[in-house]
Amino acid sequence: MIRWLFVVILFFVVMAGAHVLIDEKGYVLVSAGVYTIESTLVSLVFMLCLTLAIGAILLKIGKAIWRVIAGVSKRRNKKRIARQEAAFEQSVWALINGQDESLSYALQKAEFPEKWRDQQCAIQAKAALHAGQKVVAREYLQQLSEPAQSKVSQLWLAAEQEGQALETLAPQAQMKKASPTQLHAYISALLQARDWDTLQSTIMQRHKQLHWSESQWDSFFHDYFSAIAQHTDKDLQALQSALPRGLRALSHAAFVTVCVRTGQLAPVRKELIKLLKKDQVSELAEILQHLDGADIELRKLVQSKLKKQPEQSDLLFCLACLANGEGDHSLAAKIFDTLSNEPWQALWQHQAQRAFAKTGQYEKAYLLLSDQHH
Amino acid sequence: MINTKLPLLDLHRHLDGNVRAETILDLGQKFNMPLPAHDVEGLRPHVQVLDNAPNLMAFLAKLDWGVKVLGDYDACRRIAVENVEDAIAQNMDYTELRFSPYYMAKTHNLHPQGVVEAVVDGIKSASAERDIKVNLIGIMSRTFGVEKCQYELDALLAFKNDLVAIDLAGDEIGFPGELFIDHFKQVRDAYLGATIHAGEAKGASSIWQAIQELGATRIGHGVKAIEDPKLMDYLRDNRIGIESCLTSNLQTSTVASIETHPLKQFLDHGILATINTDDPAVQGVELDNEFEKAAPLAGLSESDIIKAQHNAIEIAFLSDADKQVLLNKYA
Repeated sequence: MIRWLFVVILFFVVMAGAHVLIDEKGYVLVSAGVYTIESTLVSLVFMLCLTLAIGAILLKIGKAIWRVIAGVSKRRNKKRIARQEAAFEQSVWALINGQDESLSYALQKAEFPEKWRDQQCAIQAKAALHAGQKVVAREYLQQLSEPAQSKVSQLWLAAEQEGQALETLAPQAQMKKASPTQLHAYISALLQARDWDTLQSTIMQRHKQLHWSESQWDSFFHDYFSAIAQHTDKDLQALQSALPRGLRALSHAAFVTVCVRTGQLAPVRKELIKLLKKDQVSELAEILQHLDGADIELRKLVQSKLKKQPEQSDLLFCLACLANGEGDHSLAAKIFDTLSNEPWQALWQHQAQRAFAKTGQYEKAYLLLSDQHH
Repeated sequence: MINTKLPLLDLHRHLDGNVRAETILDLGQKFNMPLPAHDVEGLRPHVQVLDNAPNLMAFLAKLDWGVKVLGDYDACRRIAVENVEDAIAQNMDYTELRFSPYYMAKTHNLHPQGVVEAVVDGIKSASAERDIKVNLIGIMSRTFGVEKCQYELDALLAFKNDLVAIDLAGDEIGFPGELFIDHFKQVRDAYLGATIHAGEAKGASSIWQAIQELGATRIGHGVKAIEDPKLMDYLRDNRIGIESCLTSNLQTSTVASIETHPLKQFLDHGILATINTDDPAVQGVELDNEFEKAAPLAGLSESDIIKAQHNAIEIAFLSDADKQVLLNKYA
């Protein structure tokens, strides 16, 4: 650069001095309005070239300054993008690992790249839901773009915005060729929205499209019957009988469990007694673990069986459940004191806690509860 | 009203039930515990009773946080030191801090004997050359079973010269006093006093048992004594003290309201009943609250409160000379 400048300057110095050397006296007059420039031809050319050279140099300097300024801004931009991408990556890993605290932290630290902004809001909503902050979650969901809002029906449901979820899910699910995923989401929304009639008709008509496994059906019917028992006066038995034959079988286990849990033992008594008579005591214990109701007939049968097998722990547990159901918590607590000499079973936890708490043995109940959490 | 012309004593004060929320936060973060909140204000509802609505399970959960964060022996020493500072802040002249080394040790698998050593060291250094006398009472937590209590007692007896008494606390119904007769024989053999949590969850029979079979000379809470007139007479005639904890008894549903607490009847009957805190940090109240607010609510007059203060001096696990020193401070 310096060499080039030197050559240019030298060239013009030669040009400027040349007329003296060759004794040229050329004369130029440039006039514009009241202004005139008088010069020799050579020096005018020299001045012109000098102006051009200075202009070129200024242009070069300007470009260099611009490059510096643009470089800083570019670097800044690059850093911002790197930060956004790191936050995005970190959040995705936190999401995959279910680390909601790291997720919130990563999202607080930086924003996602522009094109992932909807996903950021959705993830923030999910993290807020995990932290039990439903109002905050709703705010994030509202910030989603309209097309994105229709893609997070499960979040809307979790944020207790069933209407919003159903608005999105209904048109998709009502299409003939709705996917199992769409139908699943729709059914969950209906269950949460407690729209029992639509839910029942959807299940009746579309159950074959769901392709659910037995455990999925069991889980669904468990939630369905529990919700019905909790929120309506509907007859669970009538509801179960009205199901198509295939679904009746799939719903049976959930039906029995919910009946026992809600203390409606009449429709399932025969079945429970059958289990007892067939010596399927562990199955009976499994069912009775959440019993909340009394059944004197069953209790007497368990007691008479215990006379023959007084140390059978499953039978003892069944008796404890039935005693708790009848409000005889002292008997239940005594049974659990006996059972505590044997390896403790998770199955016993709920009824044992209940028996100990109801008999004022809160510390025992609390220890059971904390052991469960650990 | 606290009578400032008399020494102020708190005889029933759980050291492990008095861990500051700030300390729980600090230690929880130090030992990477998954705390329910990351600032003191957020943590407070999880470690302190904020209303008097009784919920014993919630109370126990709150109590638990104070010991869950005890990740090493320094942490145990720290809470011992802070307990003394809290007692000084309440202008106490004498306090008996009780603690269960197994309960403090179990979360982080510390050795109960190490916990006792740390607590003893903390108390000694914090109370040295301060205007307070502090004695320690070791607790056997019966909730953890008979064998664990023996384990805990062994740890305590290794430091018997630094203790004044042994207490039996925890699940009174599930682990009745009958199971601990042998333990208290060892306590007597070690020439330590016996104060027992009784008549809190179970009836008067539990208090009789604690006195007659375990040799208790003081009863923690003892609320149910009111149900048995003979026991009331016996307590009075044999000068067996009752450590009443008004707010605590409300929060644990032992009494329906402070107004119905039998402390006033104990005092009127001539029983050596006293006013104490129990678990100040969990309860969110201190000794001044028990004297200024709870005691008047329980129907105690100014003279009743003076009587309770005198009773505390009488039943304290102190020698006659030490009691005289306390009284001389106000002579």
